[in-house]
Amino acid sequence: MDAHGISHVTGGQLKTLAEGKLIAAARGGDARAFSELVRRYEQTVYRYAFKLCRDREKAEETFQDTFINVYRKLRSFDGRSRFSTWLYAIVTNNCLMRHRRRKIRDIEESLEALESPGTTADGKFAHEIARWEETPADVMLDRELRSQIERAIGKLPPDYRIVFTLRDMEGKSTEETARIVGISGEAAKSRLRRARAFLREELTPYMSHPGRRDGR
Amino acid sequence: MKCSDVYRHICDNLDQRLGTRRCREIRRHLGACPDCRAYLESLKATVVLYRSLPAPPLPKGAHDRLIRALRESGCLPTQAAGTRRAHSRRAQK
Ligand SMILES: [Zn+2]
Repeated sequence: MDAHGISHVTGGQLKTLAEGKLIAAARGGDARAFSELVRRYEQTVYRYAFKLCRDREKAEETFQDTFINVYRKLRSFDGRSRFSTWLYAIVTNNCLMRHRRRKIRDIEESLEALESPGTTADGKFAHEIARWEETPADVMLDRELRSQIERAIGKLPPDYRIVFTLRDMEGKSTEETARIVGISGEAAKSRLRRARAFLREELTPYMSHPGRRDGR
Repeated sequence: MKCSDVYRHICDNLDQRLGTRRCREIRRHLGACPDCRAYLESLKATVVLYRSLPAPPLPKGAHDRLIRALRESGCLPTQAAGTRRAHSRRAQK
């Protein structure tokens, strides 16, 4: 075996082996090391893939594509970024490839418009800002609201959904999000701003009228 | 600072208390502007709603299907080549 061989490591030790050693061994072609990497990251990869795809079947396809890509690209992983950053980037790319063909132009335009809201000459909002009468703590995530939440994020073009998912659902920093997606920090901020504004607009009809459930 | 400036910058950190000058100005504006306050609150609520969406765990059988796919693509050796221990979980099927 090569210098990174871990053939002496027992199954139990493998579970706690430092990530760097594991990666080095997997790069050297050690199947046990690669299997251990899969074991450590499979939940993370699947959940993130699900958040992006919003569909179990697509999430599982993305999940499989991801680990096949990890294997094939592992030699090009240079350790300059964290392994998890690199891994998230692979999941993200796989998801993007699966979505590329969808028609998204109309929504792209409305997202552009959200970049700068209509304002009056003195910089106030030209349109009334809807008050959300209900807070997330008040509302039960009933079927109707939940499906609206799903629908809204489903409408969001992948470029925006990815940034929103990384920042607001996975809790990544702006810098790491930018690194994963391969864009500038400013671009990440701009996409996040539009994505949040878009989702907020989509949910406003459901959140700004108390009693919407008893009413209509 | 105007509402339009707040709109552009409020979003980066929602209401995380940063000590930068811009953040202090945003906070001052928020104190005096119900519109921007309502906007910030609803943005924060949006994020909370999305965070509360459950992400399902790995489905049953997905690990085994992955291992099979990895073997078929040559990423892992086939069973015979000595990875029995690593995949002894491969029980059902
Ligand atoms: Zn304002």
